[in-house]
Amino acid sequence: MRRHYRAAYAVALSLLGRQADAEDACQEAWLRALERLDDLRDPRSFRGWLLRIVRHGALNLIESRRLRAVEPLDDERAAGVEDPRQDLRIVRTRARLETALAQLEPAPRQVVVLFDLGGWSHREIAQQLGISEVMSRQHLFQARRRLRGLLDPGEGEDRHEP
Amino acid sequence: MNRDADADQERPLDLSALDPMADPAHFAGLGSRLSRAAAGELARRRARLDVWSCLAAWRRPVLATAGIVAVAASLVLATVPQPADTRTSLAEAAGVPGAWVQLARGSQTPTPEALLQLGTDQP
Repeated sequence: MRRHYRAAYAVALSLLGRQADAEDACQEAWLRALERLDDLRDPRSFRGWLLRIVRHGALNLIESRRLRAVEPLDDERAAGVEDPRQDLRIVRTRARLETALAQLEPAPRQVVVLFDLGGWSHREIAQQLGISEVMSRQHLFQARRRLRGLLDPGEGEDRHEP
Repeated sequence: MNRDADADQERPLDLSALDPMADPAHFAGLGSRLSRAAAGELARRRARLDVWSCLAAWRRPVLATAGIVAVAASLVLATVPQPADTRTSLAEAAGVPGAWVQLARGSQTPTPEALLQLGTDQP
């Protein structure tokens, strides 16, 4: 589950831009996949099949405008916190990242999330998004530059250590 | 300067704050939330799986027994001699006298005397 969850989450986050929404989309996708598991003919194609479900679910979420506001600290997170100060720092960093990601165009946002968070290759991203690998590289370059500028306007670098 | 800026864009961004797996407790919470949400569907699948597994377990012995019975029945039918003509007609089964049946099957129209004779022959 862990391996597929990471890929599914990366796809959802690249489209939705918020962790809470991406987690909800992933959960919905897992449940939907479980219900339709009998439709899957070839188990080897599970990953692509699951990612299509995630993508459709995320796009539906965007269209229906049911995105909820970002919650600074939900109960489940609070329950597992060992160092509240560290957690607060992560929450703040996350909020800054989400705000910055929201300001990107959809394509660069998807590429930078899939590449830098999901660990996908340009080839995989190109296949997923239906673009060329060159375009994927260009989007990544633009997205990183823009995000660095948004996150740290003074230095243009990412200083958001967790 | 531009080269430095370009090289800077080659470095990956640290997006780990958005990674739900970076915090094991958080990821465990996601897993348990998913398990709770999927409990109904999993139970339904297990129940259906049980029915199918039962049918699958019975399929082989049932097919084997049916095959043995079919072979034995074929052997019996092949070896037991059949009587030349022991068939019982529908009319006989219904209690119609044999003489009446022969008369009905005959090509000639029965005379009144013959019919009278048959009537008096009845027990």
